[in-house]
Amino acid sequence: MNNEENKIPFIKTQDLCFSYEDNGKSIEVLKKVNIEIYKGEYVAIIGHNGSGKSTLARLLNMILEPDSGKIFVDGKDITDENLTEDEMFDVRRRIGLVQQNPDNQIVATIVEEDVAFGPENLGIPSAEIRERVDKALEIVGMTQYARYEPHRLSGGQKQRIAIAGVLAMLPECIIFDESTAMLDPKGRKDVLKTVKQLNEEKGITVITVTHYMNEAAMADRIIVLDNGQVVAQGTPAQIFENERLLNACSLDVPQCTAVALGLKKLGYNLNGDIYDIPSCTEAIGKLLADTN
Amino acid sequence: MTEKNVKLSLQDVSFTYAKGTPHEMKALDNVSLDIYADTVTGIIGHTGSGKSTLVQMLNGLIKPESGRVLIDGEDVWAKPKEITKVRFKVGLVMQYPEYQLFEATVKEDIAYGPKNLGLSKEEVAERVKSAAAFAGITQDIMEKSPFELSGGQKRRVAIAGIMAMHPDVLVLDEPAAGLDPAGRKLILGGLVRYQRMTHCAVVIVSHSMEDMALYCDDIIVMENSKPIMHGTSREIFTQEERIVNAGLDVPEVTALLKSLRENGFDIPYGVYTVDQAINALHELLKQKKRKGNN
Repeated sequence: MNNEENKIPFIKTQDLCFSYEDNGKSIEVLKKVNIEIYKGEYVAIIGHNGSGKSTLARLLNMILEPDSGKIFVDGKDITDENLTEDEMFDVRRRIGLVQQNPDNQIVATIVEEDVAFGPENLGIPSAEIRERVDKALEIVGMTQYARYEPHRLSGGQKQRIAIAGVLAMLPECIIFDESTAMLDPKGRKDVLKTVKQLNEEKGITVITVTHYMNEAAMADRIIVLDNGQVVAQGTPAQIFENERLLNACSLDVPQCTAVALGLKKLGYNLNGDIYDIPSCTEAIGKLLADTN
Repeated sequence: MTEKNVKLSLQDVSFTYAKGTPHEMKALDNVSLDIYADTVTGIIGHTGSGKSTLVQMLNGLIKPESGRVLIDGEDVWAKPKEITKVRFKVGLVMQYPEYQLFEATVKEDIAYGPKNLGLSKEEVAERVKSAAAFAGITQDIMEKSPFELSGGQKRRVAIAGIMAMHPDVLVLDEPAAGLDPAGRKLILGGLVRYQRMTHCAVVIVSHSMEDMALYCDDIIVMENSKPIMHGTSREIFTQEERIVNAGLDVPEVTALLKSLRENGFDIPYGVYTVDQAINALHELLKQKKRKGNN
């Protein structure tokens, strides 16, 4: 993804710092965080509870303001104090956010009205809103629920409606802040499939904040945050090779990686990547085939 | 396996929300099931399958519209005025219990329940200490205000408060939701240690198949307001098709072994934890080597 034509990152943070006051004490959440996200990338941010990952997500979407440091979107400094309100709304439109709790992000009483809420606020002509809503619902596979009351939907369906609401704003990037944490396995699978499809087929840049290591394994690149600092970044294969680092950060490797690493510890020679089911099947399959 | 004792059972229990209105919704449909003593039982099921209603039924928070709830063979609704007694026997930790802390210090918060049981000061102190240990709460935070703690710590304080009541049945609705891997291990591992020491019945509701496979002895699968399966983790997770049809999934490690099987390798069934998978593959590799040497 990070090829020649994408030399300028879509999002870049420079020495980003954020802290909050608690009982008169200042708690540093982010300490000089420097990350770059390129157009079309699928990036996972992992870290323990309190590592600063959700704060980072909210800074990128301009829900929070940094204490110091800068954020550039397409080379433009969005932390500049001269940024106009229009420019701020434009950043929020371009970088959408889907949150954790499906019940906290639905505002209307009918699904299609909820999806239309964002573009309506932008003053888009109604014929175009209709088009955008239909398209967004189609992309997330919820067309048949357009006239439903949201409370009749399952958690996974509600999250897909929330995604459709963001899509109707025609974003270039979507941040998912633990968006599958409250879903059942089927809901999770459906949402993840939608996310992958948005990235691969629609070219939408995806930033996902998650505690599920097998979800992080779906990304092109993983950024590991620990105590407000970036401690590692790389492909899932590179990150999950380093079990010791992850454990030190209160994290873990996906189960399939744990099996492959367990075999390695028993002295078996495993070659190739071991970060998801297909790669582990290949590595362990090769070991089984070669042993005789 | 030794004979198990039934601690709590539901007999033909039904429950409908908003009965008689257009929003009427059947949450439990003629449910009969047993919860065994000295067992960690997991309840899995998709959103809306009836899990949360079931959990509240176990603890006497809601009354069946028909059918009976029995603890040690006694109908808990025989004397509705004494239903609070049931809540001492069956401790319930709701989802996101960290929002329910209110005392000035962690210690006082954990002590709140046992104090209300009318126990001696010494007994309360002893219970607070052991519950804190099981919940992974270190001594240095006992005098702190719960509001100074991290989300994971608060959650563990809330769980310790219910453990300190020494309920016969400890029921927890998504106790590890939203926590990082280390936080999940601390809570779920602590619960299993607590169960093994006290021999009480622990019931855990969760969406994480990996956690359920690792920590539960038995699993109940809910679908359409009914339990459709009840068995050991092994019995449940070997029936992948039924699990998937119920809107659930098998643990990732089970999916990995299935994928190897589909690639033509003769992999044993009934594997649902990482350690089991490593052992099974290790055995297989040793066998192959032995054959190869002959």
